[in-house]
Amino acid sequence: MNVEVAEDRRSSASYGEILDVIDVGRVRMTRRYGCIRRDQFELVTKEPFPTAFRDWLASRGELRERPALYVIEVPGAYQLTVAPRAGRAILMPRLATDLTWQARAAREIAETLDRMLNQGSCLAIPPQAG
Amino acid sequence: MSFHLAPKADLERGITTLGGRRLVFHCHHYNVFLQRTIEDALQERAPGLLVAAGMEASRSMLQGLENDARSGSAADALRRAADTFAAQGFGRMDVSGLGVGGGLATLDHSHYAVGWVSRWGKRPTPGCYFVAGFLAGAVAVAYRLAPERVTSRETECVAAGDERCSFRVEVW
Amino acid sequence: MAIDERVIVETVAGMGLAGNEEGLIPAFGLYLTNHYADFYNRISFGVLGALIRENPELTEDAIALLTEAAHVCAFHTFGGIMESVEWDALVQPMIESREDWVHGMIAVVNAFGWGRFRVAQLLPGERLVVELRDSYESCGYLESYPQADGPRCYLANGGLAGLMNLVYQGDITRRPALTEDLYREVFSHPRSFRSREHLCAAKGDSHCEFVVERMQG
Repeated sequence: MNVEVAEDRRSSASYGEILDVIDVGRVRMTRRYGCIRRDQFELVTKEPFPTAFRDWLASRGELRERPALYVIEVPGAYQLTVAPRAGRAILMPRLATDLTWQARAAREIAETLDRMLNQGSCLAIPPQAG
Repeated sequence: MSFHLAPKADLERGITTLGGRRLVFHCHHYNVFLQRTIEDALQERAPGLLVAAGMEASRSMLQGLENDARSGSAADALRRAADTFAAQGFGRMDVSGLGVGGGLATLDHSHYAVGWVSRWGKRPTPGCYFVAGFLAGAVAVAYRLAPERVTSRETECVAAGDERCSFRVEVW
Repeated sequence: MAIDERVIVETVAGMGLAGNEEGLIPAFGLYLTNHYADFYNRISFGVLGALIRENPELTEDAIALLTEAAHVCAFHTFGGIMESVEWDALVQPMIESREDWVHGMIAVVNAFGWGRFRVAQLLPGERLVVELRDSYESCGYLESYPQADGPRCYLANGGLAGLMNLVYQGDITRRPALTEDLYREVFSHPRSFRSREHLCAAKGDSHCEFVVERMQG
């Protein structure tokens, strides 16, 4: 994530505006403007997320799970909402965190996800029919 | 320890209540846009309507909560109000500076202030009118005061460039 | 139609949408509040009453202000929801047609406490008729004011027009960026949708009903 580019754009950005898009291996990460204190990070893959990814997240905070959807809450850090079969997640950092930390945390999650995808553990969740 | 009581949902009718009053989900876009519409239309009269409506709405709900809770002290009632406020998504407030004579309350991440800044940037004056009204209602209910005896105004606001939002509550 | 409203309502209601340790509710890519219907009603009917008392000839303009707020609500709230991860996980797998985007969004709103919406008719790209019972606006109105001489559900009315505009005018299915430019383009289009609340509980009808159609442009 190019912090300087994102900073330039965010000075005149409006809510939801794209600040930066990068590929972290097989994970496309899109950074959007949230407010002066917080950005939003979208992680998208062409394949379903592996179950190992959920397990890794669960070890970092409180997991709330619904059918086809889970949310990880890491107090003081972020909320990550995951649609595993759709291969999509949104990271909403806490306002108390700073922007540099937010970008680093998003990148760490993207790198972990990419690593797990490369290990082939996505086979644990079959693609959705239709 | 959280004092918050969960809302009751009637999914068949699409109705959610807390303290006997209806709750509805809305996001920051609508909340701050509606407020701005009212400020543009009423100009200097807008804060009066917005604060009074915040007080009236919160007082009705909090009174209902106290009737249900049937517990203890005014301090408990204030904490219950602050926990409810946070559970409803308005931000986490510190009400430890409030008492029977009023006092100061602070709010670090006001939904209204953050929402305003995310849409339009800073504003010249404080903008958390609903929060000011809520605090007046909370003090009135906690200390069983007639509502006209309590006033509240925001003295610092994140939306106006301050570090945090601060409110002064006065009891007359 | 593949939308299972009961599953959607129960799942959204069961998502535990409550403030985190910062007292905020990030969900559907938005910051939500579980706000007081009494507050919205007092400020909406309050500002409308003041404007109409002072300038009765501007009644339609005053109503247009609240309708505009409802359009903004629909554009960002409904638009945000239909582009969210939660939508992808929960609703998208049920979608078989463009019309299912309308039905899916109505199902999500039925978990938001606004009352119970039911689609009575949906003509693709042309017309939507929706019944609403226990509308928080009409119920709130009748608690504080005498029976109205016209409809009072300004948020629901403008919101339904916004929903049709998102689905058929702004093509939300392609996930456009929800910018101010897009908002203007969609809602200023001469053939964009507008809604009319022809039945309203606030004026004595058994329920509220909305007809959403394209302007004749």
